[in-house]
Amino acid sequence: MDAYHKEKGKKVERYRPGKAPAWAAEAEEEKDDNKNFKTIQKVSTTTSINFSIPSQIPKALIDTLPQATPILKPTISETRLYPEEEYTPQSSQTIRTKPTFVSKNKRATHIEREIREQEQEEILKQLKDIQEEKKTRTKVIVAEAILKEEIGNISDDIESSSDEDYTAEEFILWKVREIKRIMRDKEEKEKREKDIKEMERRRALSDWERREEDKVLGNDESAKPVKQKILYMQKYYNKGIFYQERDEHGKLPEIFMRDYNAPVEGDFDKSTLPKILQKRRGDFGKKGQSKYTHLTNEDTTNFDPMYMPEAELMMKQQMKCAGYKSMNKFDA
Amino acid sequence: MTEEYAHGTNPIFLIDKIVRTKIYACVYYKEKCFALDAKTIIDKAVELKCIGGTCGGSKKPTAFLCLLLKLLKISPEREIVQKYIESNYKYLRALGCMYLRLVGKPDDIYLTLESLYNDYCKLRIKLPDGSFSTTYMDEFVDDLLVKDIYLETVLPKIPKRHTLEDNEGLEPRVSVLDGELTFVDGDLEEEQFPDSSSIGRSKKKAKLGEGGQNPQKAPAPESDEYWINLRKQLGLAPVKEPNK
Repeated sequence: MDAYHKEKGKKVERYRPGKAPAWAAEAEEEKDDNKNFKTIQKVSTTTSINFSIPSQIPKALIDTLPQATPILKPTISETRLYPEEEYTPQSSQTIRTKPTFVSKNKRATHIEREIREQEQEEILKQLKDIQEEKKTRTKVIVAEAILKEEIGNISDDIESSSDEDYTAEEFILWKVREIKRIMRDKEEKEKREKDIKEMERRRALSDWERREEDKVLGNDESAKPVKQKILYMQKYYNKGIFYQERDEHGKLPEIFMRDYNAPVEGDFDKSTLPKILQKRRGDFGKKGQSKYTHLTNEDTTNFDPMYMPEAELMMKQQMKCAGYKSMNKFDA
Repeated sequence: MTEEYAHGTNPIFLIDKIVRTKIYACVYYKEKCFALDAKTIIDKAVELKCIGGTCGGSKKPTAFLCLLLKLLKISPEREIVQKYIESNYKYLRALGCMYLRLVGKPDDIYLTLESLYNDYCKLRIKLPDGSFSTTYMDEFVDDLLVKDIYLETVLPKIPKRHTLEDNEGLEPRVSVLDGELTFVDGDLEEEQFPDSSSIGRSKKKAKLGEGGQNPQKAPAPESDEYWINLRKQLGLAPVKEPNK
């Protein structure tokens, strides 16, 4: 238990630095160990106040001592907040240089900055130079290209047709072209004349002769495929308009010459079947089967001569329709 | 061509809408073709460097096409067009021909353009990919008469020459070489066409029909004299002295 804890129960006095508390004397008496501390404290205070270097120690040695003699050189950056006597009591013994004022533009920082700025300027200048060079180089390249093009274009001839256009070599070339043109026209004319001749010859033929010729040439009715009669209620296919291109001999390829309406599997004569089974192909047995079989079945025309309307009346009616007025007029 | 309308419409409609829009948008048309008339357009036509339709990915119209549209707008009279066609400047001639082909009457087109079959001056043509090629005035005129679409322009339909000959009494075309050709008619296939392959290479090898009427007296095709005489017969400008 030390003195402090003993005092705990009492009113605490205010602590002031440098002044020993009331319990300090008691504590000193109680503990002998604390004596040493006190003496040390005393010594330290005395040294701080009465610090002196014996005169016999050489000056150079003093300078080397780090703590005792801090080297004070007046640099520009150093700022002194306190008087030197207060801060370093031993400085009276060291050599002190007088702080001199260095003007702004002679200070090291200023010079450094200037050097840095100069360097930057130089770099910028170099960059600018490089860009300029690039520009001029591209200009030269473009100019060269344009010049080359112009030379290429205008190398050989002058714009107005001068005698230079009409050289002997050109004349020969022209002659070839002209002959080719004449030949072309001539060939066209010959072909045309041949066609007209052929046309006239065929017109002069009799019908029988023409038919015979067609047979030989193979471009008449006989050349067409023979069509089979289609069966009762057989499905009909229209030929359509596509794939009708003919080759240079005016013939269709074999595959397009085939009869589309030839009966195939499933096509048989349905007239033999009982009426109930006469359904369209694929319709039989289905819910949606149609009662209609074929168009003639649905024709309501009465063909009985008994019920035919009078021909005269029919004609009169028909004459009222479009296109019949000048039916029998052949003059213009 | 005094009439305001060609083929029943405004002549500018002879150039397709898309091409026309491109022409209106092009710098040359805006800058150089402004306020031109039948006389001042000559200066621009003389300065032309090439014929051509449109070229490049953006289908940029050539100056030739711009001037053609301007000419269609101006609609000069037939006599003026004739002056263009007879002028000394080949691109002006070409422009005049193209214009006449677009707005002229069929028989007039045939008669006028066929007179240029004898003109073999070189024309530079700008191809759709932007490159240049050489053509000749006679080829150009032939294309105008034969083709349906030429230089991005739809050429109006004209009847074939033979129908005009049959129906409207147009005289059949007489080529300046007709006399020569009838002379070698029988041997045309054997003599003329093998020559045509060798013609471009050497002047000496080129064997041509020997001046129609009197083959014995005519100078040899090798000599310059022969060519000068031939050109005189055809009514063409004399041959320039070859470089020696």
